[in-house]
Amino acid sequence: MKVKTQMEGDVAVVHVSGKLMGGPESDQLRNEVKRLIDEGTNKFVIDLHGVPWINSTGLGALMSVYTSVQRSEGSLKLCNVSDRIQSLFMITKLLTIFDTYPSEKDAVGAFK
Amino acid sequence: MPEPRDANGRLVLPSVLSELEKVDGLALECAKEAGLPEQEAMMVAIAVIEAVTNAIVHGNRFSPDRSVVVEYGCEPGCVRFTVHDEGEGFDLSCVWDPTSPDRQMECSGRGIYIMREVMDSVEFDMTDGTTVTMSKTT
Repeated sequence: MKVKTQMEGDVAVVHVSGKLMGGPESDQLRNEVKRLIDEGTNKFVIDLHGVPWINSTGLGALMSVYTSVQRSEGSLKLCNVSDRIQSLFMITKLLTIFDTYPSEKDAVGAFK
Repeated sequence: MPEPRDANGRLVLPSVLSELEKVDGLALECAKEAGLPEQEAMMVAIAVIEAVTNAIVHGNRFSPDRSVVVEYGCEPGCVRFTVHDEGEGFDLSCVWDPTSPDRQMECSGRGIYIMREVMDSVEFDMTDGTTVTMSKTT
C-alpha cells in the first residue's frame, strides 16, 4: 500500500493506493494523518482511487483516521470510492458516517 | 490472475494478509461459476475475505506455524465455503452489533456481521480451532 499527500490550499489530499487490509500497512495511513494533524492540518480528503477493495480491518483503519480527525476538530471527506467499498459502507451502515464524493475536485470543493 | 483451482476444492494458506488477494480471486470465480450475478459474486467475495481475515488475525494470530484452510464448492445457483483456522476459538455471544449507535465508531468487530449480512447461512464450529461454514444461493 502507498500513501502520498498533496496540499490543495489548506486541504490535505491523501492519495492511497493498494489494498487496505489492515496490519502494519494500515499504520502508514494512520501515521500520515497523525503527522498532518500534528502540523496543524484539519481538512482532509482521502482519495481511494487506487484502492479497489478493503476488508473490515481496513475499514477499521479508516474509522481510526476519521476519529483522529474528529478529535482534532477537523473534517474528513472520502473520494473515488469503488463500488465494492461503497457496498461495504452500505452493509456496515457507515455511509451515514463517511462523507463521500465522486472526485477529488468535488471533495476539495466541498470545503469551500 | 486467479490462483489455479485445486481439484479437491481446497486451498491451504499461510497466516499472512497478502494471501487475501488469492482468496478474493477464488471466491469471485466460484460465485460466478455458480451463476451468481456479478454484484452478488462481489458480495460473496467480501464475506469470504472477512472469514479468512478473522482466521489469520484473530484465529492464527499471524503465526507462521499455523495455516488457514479454505474449502470451496459450487453448483448451479449455490456456492459454499468453509474456512478453518488453528486458533483457540472465541465466544460467539460476545459478538456485538457494529451498527448499533454505541458501537458504530468502533475500529473493529465488523467481520462476522458482514458475513451474516451477505451470506444466506453462516455457522461456526469451535471444537478444533474455528471452522466457519457459509453458503449463498441465488
